[in-house]
This record gives sequence, structure tokens and C-alpha cells, in this order.
Amino acid sequence: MSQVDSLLREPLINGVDKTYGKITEDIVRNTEGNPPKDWWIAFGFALAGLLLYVIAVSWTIFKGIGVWGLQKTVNWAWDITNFVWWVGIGHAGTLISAVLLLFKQKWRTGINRAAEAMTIFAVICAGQFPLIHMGRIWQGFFIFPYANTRGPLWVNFNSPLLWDVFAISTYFTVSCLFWYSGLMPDFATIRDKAKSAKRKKIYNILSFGWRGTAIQWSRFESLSLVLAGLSTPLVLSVHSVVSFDFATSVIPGWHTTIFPPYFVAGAIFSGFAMVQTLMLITRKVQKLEDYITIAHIESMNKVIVLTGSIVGIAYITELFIAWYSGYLYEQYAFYNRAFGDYWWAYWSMMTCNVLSPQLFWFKKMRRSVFVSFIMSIFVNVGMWFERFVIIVTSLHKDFLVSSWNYFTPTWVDMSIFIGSLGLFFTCFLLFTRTFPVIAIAEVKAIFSSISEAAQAKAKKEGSH
Amino acid sequence: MNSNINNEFGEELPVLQGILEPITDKDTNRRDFLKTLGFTVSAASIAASCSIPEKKSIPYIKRPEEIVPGSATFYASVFAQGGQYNSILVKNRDGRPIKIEGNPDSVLSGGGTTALAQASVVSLYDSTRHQNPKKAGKDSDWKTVDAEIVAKLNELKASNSKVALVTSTIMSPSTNALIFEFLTKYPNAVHITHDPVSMSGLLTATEQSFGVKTLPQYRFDNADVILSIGADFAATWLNPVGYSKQYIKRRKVSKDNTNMSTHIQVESLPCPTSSTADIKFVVSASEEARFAADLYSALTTGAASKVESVSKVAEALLKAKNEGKSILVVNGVNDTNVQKLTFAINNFLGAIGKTVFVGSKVNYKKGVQADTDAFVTDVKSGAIKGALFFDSNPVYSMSGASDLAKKIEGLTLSVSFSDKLDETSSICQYICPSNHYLESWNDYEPEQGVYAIAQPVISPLFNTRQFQQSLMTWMGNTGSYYDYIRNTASSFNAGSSYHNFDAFWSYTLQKGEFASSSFGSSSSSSFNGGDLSGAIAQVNANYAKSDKFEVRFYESVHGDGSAADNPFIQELPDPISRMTWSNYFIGNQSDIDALGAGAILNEKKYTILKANINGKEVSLPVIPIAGVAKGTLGMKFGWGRTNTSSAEYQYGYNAFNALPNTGSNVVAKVDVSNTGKKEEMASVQSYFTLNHMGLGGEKTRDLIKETTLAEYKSNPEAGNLIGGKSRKEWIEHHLVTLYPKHDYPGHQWGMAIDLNSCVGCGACVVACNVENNVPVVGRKEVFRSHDMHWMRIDRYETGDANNPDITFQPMLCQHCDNAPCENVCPVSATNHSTDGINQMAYNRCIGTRYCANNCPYKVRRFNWFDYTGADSFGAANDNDPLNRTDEIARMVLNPDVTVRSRGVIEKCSFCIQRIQVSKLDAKKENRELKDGEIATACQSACSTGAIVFGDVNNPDSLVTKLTNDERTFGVVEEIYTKPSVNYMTKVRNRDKSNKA
Repeated sequence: MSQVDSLLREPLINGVDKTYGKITEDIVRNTEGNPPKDWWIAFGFALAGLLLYVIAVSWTIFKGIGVWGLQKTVNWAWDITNFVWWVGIGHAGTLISAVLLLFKQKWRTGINRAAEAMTIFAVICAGQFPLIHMGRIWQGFFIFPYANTRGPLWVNFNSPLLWDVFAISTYFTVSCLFWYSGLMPDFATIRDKAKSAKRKKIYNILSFGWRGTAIQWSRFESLSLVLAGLSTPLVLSVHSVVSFDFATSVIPGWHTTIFPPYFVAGAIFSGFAMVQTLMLITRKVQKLEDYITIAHIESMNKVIVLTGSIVGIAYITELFIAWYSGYLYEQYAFYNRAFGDYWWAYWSMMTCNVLSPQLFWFKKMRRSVFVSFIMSIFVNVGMWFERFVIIVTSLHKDFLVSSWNYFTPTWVDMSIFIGSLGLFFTCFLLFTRTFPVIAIAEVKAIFSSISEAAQAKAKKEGSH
Repeated sequence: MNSNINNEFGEELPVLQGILEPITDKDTNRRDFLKTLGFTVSAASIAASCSIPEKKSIPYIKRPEEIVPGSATFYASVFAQGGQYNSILVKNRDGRPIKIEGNPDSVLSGGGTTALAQASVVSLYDSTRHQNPKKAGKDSDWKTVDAEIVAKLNELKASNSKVALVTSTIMSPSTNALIFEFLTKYPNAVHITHDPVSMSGLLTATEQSFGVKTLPQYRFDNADVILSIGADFAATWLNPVGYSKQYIKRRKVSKDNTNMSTHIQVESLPCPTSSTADIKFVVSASEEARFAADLYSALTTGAASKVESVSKVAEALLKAKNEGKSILVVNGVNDTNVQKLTFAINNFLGAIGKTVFVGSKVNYKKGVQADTDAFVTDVKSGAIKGALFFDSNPVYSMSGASDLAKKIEGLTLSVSFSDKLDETSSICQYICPSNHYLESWNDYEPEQGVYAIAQPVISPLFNTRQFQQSLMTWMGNTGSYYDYIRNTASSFNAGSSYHNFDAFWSYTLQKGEFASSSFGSSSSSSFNGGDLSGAIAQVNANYAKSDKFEVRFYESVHGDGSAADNPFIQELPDPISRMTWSNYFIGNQSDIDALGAGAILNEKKYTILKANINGKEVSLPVIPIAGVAKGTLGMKFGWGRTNTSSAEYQYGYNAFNALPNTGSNVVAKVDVSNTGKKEEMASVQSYFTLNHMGLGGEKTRDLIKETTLAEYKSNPEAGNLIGGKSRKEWIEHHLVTLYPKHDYPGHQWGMAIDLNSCVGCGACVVACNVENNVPVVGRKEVFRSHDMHWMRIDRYETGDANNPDITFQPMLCQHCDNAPCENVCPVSATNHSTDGINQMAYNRCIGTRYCANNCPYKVRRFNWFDYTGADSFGAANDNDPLNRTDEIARMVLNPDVTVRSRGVIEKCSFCIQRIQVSKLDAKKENRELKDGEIATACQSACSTGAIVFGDVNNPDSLVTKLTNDERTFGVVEEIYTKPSVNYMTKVRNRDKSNKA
């Protein structure tokens, strides 16, 4: 872990008075004591959202899927849009922790913990939708290949929905393991700082009795690498599998071989945007500007402009291929996206995902907290629309003119989406007050690598 | 040792001493413990696994004759309503009629049925029917009611006050005889025949031109050239089942038989019949009314008409006449002068005695406007003091006459025989509910020489009494109507070859219909039209063109409103507009644009227009339909009921209210304005054109394939080529699949649908609904596109938007060999059978709806709510505004078909239950299945034989022959779904592909 940073490189941690103790203090402080008022307000909103979610889902299960706006032509809409959106968001965490770890990108340490937490909560949200969109959720266990007495009745391994089950559950499991294993030393730090016996006991259990011996550290590092190695292919596979939900079908607009890379790029794009949104708020509220620096934000923005452009190329490729196919139904599907009933969704998507991130070619924009925040919201919105466009506009006017239809959401559709945000933020806010939102141990590891010269330079320029 | 041997099984280990004491009251040993454990575990598991609710079922002590549990019996009967005559077979299961089938032995309807006939079985199990005779709106008993009515009748007779017996057309000779007896007994009584959708013009014209007051007989199969001026003869006009059968006989083409008739349609509104027209002229409603006059002048004077369509039609007809072709002209305008001129045209073209026969009685409709007028006048003037209403609802169907309801309320005696709540019965003093027709004996003589017997197939469900029996009771006749019919029947036996009456009776009862040898003889009275210049002048005066709007009233396959309280009829989409649960105006897009009354198609919102028709303010949404003449609005009969069992049946506006007192279905000079308000309409299809929207270019969606007869003659694959190549060749060269091929060792079921034969009447749709327990969901749910129909009749338009070619395409599960739905189901709930059926295992389905998304044909239907009461959550969450989960309503359910609970996908099963029955029959008889033995519900309901089902593994079957025909294609087969349902190109008999 000894790496000498050049003078030219920006420091990964700012501040003139940083010591190991100060780092611990800064980060653990947020788990101690009572949360501030603005946290409570945010938590109140999140809980209200969660309550809305519970009500809307209960109503759906009690009355039937008919309370949604779905109909005979558009059998999926907001449900699967939300699913894919949340899964996509859940991509950034693993990418940041695993792929950047393998590529030895030290800047990830400031944000990986929160990004991983976000991944897990996003996957939890995503996992809701395949369940609640079922007409008979109480028979949902049919989807697992369990031993049964119903004769040769088995799941259909040809179905992408089944692949989803495996992909998402694997991803969730590995993400949890990765996240938790990284948390153990930090839990131990909190335990060591804990004043009450109860708190000590809880964090001791959570830390699995971490003692920080050399052998533990050695195993910890190995485990991190192994899990990173395991997770990396998952980053690619999960969203590829999700894209198969569409790509293996016969519907124009879905039946597209470009989908796996396009979906993966889109997922990283939206995941980074969500991380950006959360981090910008967290660093402000939790006063962690020294640890989540402008350099971090800039790095994130670079990834956003890259993946956004990949997504943009994918959009244009789709249009070209539709024209090139010479197949009327395919051509119409894409014509209809841009100029049909849902033109506004398509152009919102284009604006938010392709056009607006191009601002990040300018350094000033990349380094502006305000612009970054607005842009991260734009991308989140744009990526939601992307999934909506793919799902709804492909379905609503497909082959048979007689079945063409228009989807309009009901209050339940909207409540479930808003409610899922409530679920997500409830989890995330609880996380910020109970877990160290920055990986203390890892940040300390890079702290040592900052040269004195760099610190001196920082001091001279008076940045903080 | 010994004691040990004796004690080998004697161990008494007090395992659970003290714990189970309350149960056993003694020490528990190991065995007791295991026994208790075994019992409780098994009891608990039984209790937990058996959640099937308890149902009462009482076994027969004495098994009724003919009822074998689980097997169906069929009884011949007759459905006759609103002028329709369908000879039917009623399918009975366990003593309940559950399905109507066409009677293939009928000479008139020949196995076909209408949508109304198919739906009629549903109205039997209607718990909102009158269950008792009623007096002043309250339940009474027959004795009281009879005594009071007879007393009043006698009182009226004594004072010689007029009593009117108002009925719809009665085709029953026995009932007619009975009414004659009644009129004799009560000489103060008159019989008024009132048909809501009247043929008065035609009847009066026949009387004036031929001296006989009866409808003519038409022979569409004899005609080489058919000209229909606004007559929807294949779907609604007069005897649609018989006519469509005759007509389609000459419309089916094959390589060996290209002798196709030419069908010219002149109309202001598109109708099902015009979808099969070869040459179509769109004229305004007044032009349609004047067309016969103009055409007659053009034909007889030889002078070219100023109107282009007239001269073109005249030219075509004269050419046909000179070529010696037989011609038939029918006219849908209900106007005596127009019909007289139509007869004159037929006479001029030599059709009388060839395709039109006048002379023998044709009884589908007998009501004339003069009778209706007389009734209205007499009621209003107070000349009529008493009225009896049988199968007639004048407060609704004569509602154009103001104050009629009030006057009827004020009568000394008013009796309704209606079995259901309606506008008239609700204001009558007495309701003497008649039986449902499936509970009644009756006889019919639809056309002279055809005698049919209707038999009851179930005992009356409620305390009702047949109308005829009531009349007999009031005349003091204590006999039964059954004997009365037998008596009538004996006169029909006179000319038969049966050796005695009993043989005649049994045979006719079994077969449903007896046709005398004289039936179908081709003699006709001769036309004696006299001077027609007066008629021409009157037509030109009555239907003068103006710059105002014109309204054309029409009847759709939903009938005249008497079946409006049948949810299956309400939910049957209109063939043209594809709307359900209401009526509306249909109009031309350019008129609608000019009024600023555009529709938001994708949200199913249509602008409400206000029209002043004959002084009546009519506010209805307007639906833009391509092919409606500019300046014309169409308005459909049968909606806007005001007094029915549920408010759900009361949408729309009562067209009878705005009908002119001449009874004519064309009204010129109507003021129309835009209200600016919009209404949400329950449509099932909003887009019709196949022209490639948006991208420009020549290409159209090839969902249907069309050609002309001339091209077909030169190449049987015309219209069915893909990229200039033969279709089969193209498929072989271009399409591959990664999935393994299915093996069909035994049967492989397939279907062929001839687009040339489908007239879009919708009988198959209702037949499918009844056969397969398809839920009815109601207006709101249809609006939300939650309609559940497994079978639907898509309508498409091609060509000129002002006069498009219309094609109906029956669409159902295509049972693809490479089914896109099958590989995406995560739980294999939908899978492929070894005989080629795409099956649904409802109880395996978890409702991900992926299959429905991935179905290119969009035929899969999801149970969005608990529509059927089959849900495990109970009644609290059902969605049943139409009371379909009512115990009596559920009696119509087909016990062979699972009733689906909410949250599962359902779709067409190729009537797998019917396949199974026939397979078992064949197995029992140790023989092979015969081709044609299995008929799906849609196939057997179809009067034109458009649908053919069978085994494509059988090289000799009809379906194999059709599937291999050059005209056959699959819908979007380029994605290689390999559908088992194949369509045959539509061939229009015209020279170039551009019509007219």
C-alpha cells in the first residue's frame, strides 16, 4: 500500500490538520450521538414514502394488478421500468469497489462504502418489482427450482426471467459479502470508541470480533481481492441478463443484440449518477468535504460523460440498425419512439442522457458541485425514461395495429415508484447514522501515501 | 426368561409423563406418543392442504332420463328474436342449457347462428328476471292476477273499449292462431305488430307492387351480380344467417372454382357486409336514399346520370344484364317508394323469379308503420283503453312519440309479458312474466313451407308462465299450449311423407325443422309497379340534398335493444367501430375536423356532438370512421335503455327517440354542433389503417393479404408473394430457429380462416365467450383495455381513406409451433402439447405477463381483477359490476372449462375440451377421428364456414388442404412463429386493385 503520489496529483484527502485520529473522529462522529434535525426531516419524508409503498403494494396484492395502468397490450410498464432502473443504479457500488480496486484506483476509497451500501439498497428496491408485478405473488415460489411432488414440474431454464432470479440473487449475495467484509475493521473501530457497554457489544458482534492483527489484515486484503475478482464479472453479467428480458423477445425495439453492452453502460451511467447525488448530499450534511473531494466528483463526472456517450452511441446505433434492417415493424418501432405518442419520453431521455452530460467535457463544469448535482438528477431522470421508452413505447404499438394502445399510469403505479424511493432512502439514512459512511481503514491506507510536499502545497494554496 | 418373553412388547416407557396427561389421562408410552404424533401431523396436513370450500351437492335419488353426469345432450330448438330466425341445438349439461349451437340440418340457417342467438342462453340465468307475476310493481300470484285481468278484459269488452295486443313479429303459427282466437273472443281487441327495426318500407312496397303483403325471398347464391344499396344483408338485414350463407357460397374461391359473384355496395356508412364488397361507392345518406330512383331513371332512360356512382353502377348492371347474368338488388332504406323503385330495378334487370321471389309467405318481419302509427294515435286520443305487450317495449322503441308512456300509464288495463325489467313493463299495472324461450314450447314458420318446433330444455327457473299459456288461461282454455302446438302441427303434416302425425312430430322435434317439398320452388308473382314517376318525385322531395348534415340510422349485430341487458351482447365490439357498451355517432374525419370535434384516439376520448334530429336534441360522442360519407352521421339502434336491471346497460342514446315518424332510417337536414366536451369510450381497437403511418412510402403492414380475382386467376399465389418469391420458398430460405423442432407423432391441430368468407358478424366471439367461460368485465374495464375476449375480429382498412377496403381478421391464439410465449414463461405455465396446442396451465401461472408482452398477436389476456369469483381472496375484492358471480348467473358456466382466478393469463385453447370429447368418443368406438368431427366453438357458430379446424397431420383433412393452398399465409410469419392458424388471402372480384 505504499504509493507515492506525485506533486501534480491532487490529494485524495484534503485538510491541513488530518491525523489518523482525526479521520476516525470525523467519520465515526456521525454514528454517535443524536442525529441532527435535518436528518430527522429527511428520515420523516423517507418513512412517509415507505408507508406509501406499503399501502400501494398491499392494495395491489389485495385487489389485483388491475389497479395499475397496465392493459392487454402493455403488460409491463412502471413495474419493470422501476426494476431495471433500480438494478442499474445498483451497479455503481460494485464497479467502484471491485473494478476500481483491481485497477488500483485509490480515489475510490472515499466513496466506495456509501456506493456499496447504495448498491445493496438499490438491489433491495429492484428485487421488489419482480415479486409485486406477479399476478399471484403468493405462488411466487414456483420460480425457484425446488424439489416438489408435482411430478416433472420444473422451472423453465429458457426463460430470461429465471435467469434474472439467479443473476439478481447472486449479485445481491456477493455485494452483501463484499460490503460486509469491508465493514468489519470499521465496526471494530466504532466498537473501540464506544462508550456504552451496549454499543460496544453490538458493534463487537457486528465486527465479528475483529482485532486488527496482522494475519487478520492479510486475510482481509486477500478476501477483498477474491471478492473483487468474483464481483467484476457480475458487473457485466447482471445487467446483461436483465437486458435479455428484452433482447430475447420478438418485439421490435426489444429484440436487439446491442442490448447487453448498452444496458451495462447505462447501468454504470445511472449508478454513478445516483452515487453522485447521494455523495453530494452526504458530504455536505455529514461535513465530509475533506474526504469526498472535488477530485472525487470530477472523477465521477468523467465516468458519467464516458458512459453517457456510450449510451448515446447505442441510441444512435439502434436508430441506424432499424433503418438499415429494412423491416417495416422495426423501423416503425423506432420512428414511433421519437415521433409517436411518447415522443416526450424519448426526447427527455435524449436530453438528459446524451446531450446534457456533454457539459462535462469542460473542467469547470466537472468541478462544480452545483452542476454535478443537477446533472446527477438529470441522469437519474433520463435513465428512468430510457427504460420507460424501451418498455412502453415498444409494447404499445407493436405488430398488430388492432392492438395498439396507450398506457397511462394510475395513482398506484406512481405511489409504488415514489414509495420505492422511500424504501431506498429509509435504508440509506439509517445507514448513514449507524455505519461508517466512509471506509475508515481504507482511507487511512491512502492517507499515508500523501506526500508531505503535497500537504505543504495544499496548505499553501489554502484549500481545504 | 418366560416373563421376559411375555413382556416382549410390554414396555411401558412413560416418555411424556405429565405432558400429555390431559389427552390420555394416563401415562403415555412411546407408541401412544407416536400415534398421537402421527394423527396430529396428518390431521394438520389434511386440514392445511384442503382449502377447497364446501359445496352443497345432492345426489339424484332417481336419475332423470337422458342426464348422464359429465356428458352433454343436444336438443333442437329455435331462437327467434327481432326478426332473426336461427334453428339451433341447445347443449345441455346436467340438465342445464349452457350453449347454443347452430342446427346444421336447417334449410334456412344451416348451422349458422348470430351473436344474439349465442348470447341468448346467458339471459336465461338472469336473477334479475321477474320471478313472479306482479301487480302494481309488487309480487303477486297467478290466481289473483288472472282473475283481475280477466275481469278487466271483460269489463272493457262490455263497454266495447278498444284493447291492443302489441307484439313484435310473430313467426309462430300456433301463437298467431291463438291471437286470432283471442281477437275473436274479445272483438274489441286489435293486434298490433310492431318491429322496432322495421321492414315496413319493403313490406308495403311488396304489397303495392305485387299485391301480396309479405317479404320477398332472396337468393343471393343465384346472383352473379349483387347490388346492395345500404343493406347489411350478411350481418343484420332480415335473415342474416341464411343470407350470409347463400352469399358466401359464391364468394369462396379456389383454383378449381373462380365463379365468384360481383358485389357492388353503395352506402353512406360502412357495415360488415361492405367489407366483402368488390366495388364500393360511398354516397351521402340522402344520396343513398335517392340512389334507387336515380339508378332506375338511368337504367330505363339510358341517359347518363349526373351522379358518377349512379352512372357507373348503371353501366355495370346493364353490362351484366346484356351478358345474361343474374342480378340481385337489395336496398336497406326503410321507405316504401325507395323499395318500390328497387323492385322496379330488379324487374328491369330480370331478377324477379331468378333471385327475387315474391309470393310465398316470408315471416321474419311483419310490422308496418301504419299499424304503429294507428296504435300511437289511438293511445294518445284515448281510443285504446287497454294494452297487452308481448315481446314488445313500445315505451322504448316508440319513444319518439311524445307522452306515450304517460298515456300508457293512464290506461284502464295494461299488461306486460316481459320477463325482464324494461321501460314498458315498469309502468304496466300487471306483469305476467313469460318464460325464457329455452323454457318454452313453441313453433315457427319463418318462411312458407318451413315448420320448426322449439322445445323447452329446462323447467322454468322462476314462477313464470308462457305468454301463450296466459292468453289461453284468460280465454278460459284449460288445455296446454303444447297440445295446441301439436294441433297446429298436424296441419303441416298434411303435405309430408310421414305415415302418421307422431312420426312427423318426433322427427321434426328431433331435427328442429321440417321443410315441405314445396319449399324453395322458384315461382314468383309478377311485378306490377304501375307508374313510378310519383315515387321518384317523392323520393327526390323527401331526401333532397342540403348543405346540412344527414343522419343514417342503422342496426348493428347487437340488435334492436331488447338484448341490451345481456352483458355478452354489450361487450361484443361493434364490427365497424369496435366500440362496446354504448352507441355514438360515426362520422367522416373531414366533417369532424371541420367541427373541431377531433378524438384523442390513444386515450379513447371522443368529442360529444349535439345534433338536432327531428326536433330531438341528441348528444353523443362522434367516432371518426373511414368510409363514412362526408356530411353523414351514423346512429345505431339499441342503446340508451332507461329501465334495466343495471345502470351499466343504459349508456348511449335511444335512436328510436329520434327516428322520424315515417319510420325512415334516413334523415336529411340535421343541425350539428360541437359541445366541446369529450367522453371516454370503451373501445377495443382505436387504429384501423394498415397504411404505413409516419414513415411514408408505399409499404403497408401485411397483416392481411389481398388480391383481385383477375390476378388470382393468373397466379393463385397473387397477393401472397414475399419479396416476389413464393411464400413457402421464402420461408424455407430465410427463416431459422435455434430451438429444437417439435415432434407431432399423432394429431397436429390447425386452423384455416378464409378472409373472403368472414363478414365480421361476431357470432364466433360470443360463442367463444360462452363456451370458454370468458369473463365479461364491463364498460369501465373495457375502457381500460382489460377486455378478456379470446377471440376477436380485428378490422383493417387499406387504400383510399375516404373509401377504404375493409377486411375483418378473426384473431385468436395462433398456437405457434415456435411460440414466443412459451420460452419466456419462467415456470413453464404455458407449454406445447404433442398435438400442437399451446397450452395454459392456469394453476401453474404466477402472472408475470411476459408471455402476453412477447405475443406478436396480443391474444393473451390477463385476469387483472377477480372477475369470476374464483379467487382465493374471496368476494371482498371482486370486480363484478354486472353480477356475473351471482349463483344463478354462474349456472351458464361450462363445467368442462376451468374458471380462471385473478392473476393468471388465459387465452384460446382451440376448445381443447371439445377435442377431448371427440377423441374419447372415437376411442370408445375404437376408430380413428373423422375429419370435421371436432368443431371449435367459433367454427360451429360461423354461418359462412370461414373457420375450418382439423388435423393437419391428416393428409386428407380439409384443413390440410386449405393450409397448403396457395392463398394461405400466416400473420407476421417472418419472425418464424410458425402459427397453426393460417389465413387465406382476400380476393376481390374486380379488375384492377383500385376499386370503383
